[in-house]
Amino acid sequence: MRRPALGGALVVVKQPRRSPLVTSVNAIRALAAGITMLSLAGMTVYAGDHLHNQTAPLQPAASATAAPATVTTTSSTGRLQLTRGVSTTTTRPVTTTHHS
Amino acid sequence: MTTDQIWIIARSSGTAALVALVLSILSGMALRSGALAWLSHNRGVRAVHDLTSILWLPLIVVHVITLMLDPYAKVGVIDLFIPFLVPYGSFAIGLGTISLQLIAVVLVATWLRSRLTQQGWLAIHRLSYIAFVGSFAHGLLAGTDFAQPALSALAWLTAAVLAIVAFRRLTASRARQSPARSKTVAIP
Repeated sequence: MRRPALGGALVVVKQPRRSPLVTSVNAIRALAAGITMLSLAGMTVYAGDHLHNQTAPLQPAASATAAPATVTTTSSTGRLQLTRGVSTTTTRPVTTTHHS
Repeated sequence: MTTDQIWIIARSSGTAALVALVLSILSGMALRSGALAWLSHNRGVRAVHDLTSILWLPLIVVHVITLMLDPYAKVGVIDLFIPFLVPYGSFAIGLGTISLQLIAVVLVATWLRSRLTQQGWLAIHRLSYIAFVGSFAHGLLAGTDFAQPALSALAWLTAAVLAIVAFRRLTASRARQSPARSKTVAIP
């Protein structure tokens, strides 16, 4: 930037250039990797605590209607477990014939 | 490994992959616009861009493999190639498939950059913007955690920051392309 001096000559005024917060390339790499890994670890902890989200856009019910399934809820985690199967009876089928 | 553990890893790796993608897109846009000049110089921003592009890869591989192993999500090998076939949340998961394919194309083009023309490479590289929008929508529609207010707010805040940097990037490149339009002040 130039501005006129008292004598009429132009004097170059150097503006102090701000140095960035992180000057080391390795440090900024470590910061980016740290943010990513922190999100991985944080989400792992969060997902472990909130195994099933009741307000999620996709719900297990959508899947359950697509295929016949038996729904049971685990008491420890709260996540719905789907098991496909055909219900069977334990009683033996008995066929009777008329002998008349 | 139980289905619960698979489910947890699928969610956390998906979120971390989105974070890596955000950092990659942000640093990529900041290279031209100088939006991160306060944080680091261009060499550092470039290093972040390169690193996060590589970090994204194992995270998304883990995300996809765990979802394929999860009996609940019912994602198959064919769903990696053909989107919208999954019976469970087909649109939301299909968006993820398309984004995955687009970013795979961008990464392959980056590795083959020396064999491509500058314009060709740039055209392919810009597909990452579409891929990011698809990934964000995938996370929003299929991600069961985005319904949490705190996480949702964080995601939208990140998207807003990206939109601002994208706007700055766009205006900066337009100003460079048309110097005649820029206002010049005559110094007497």
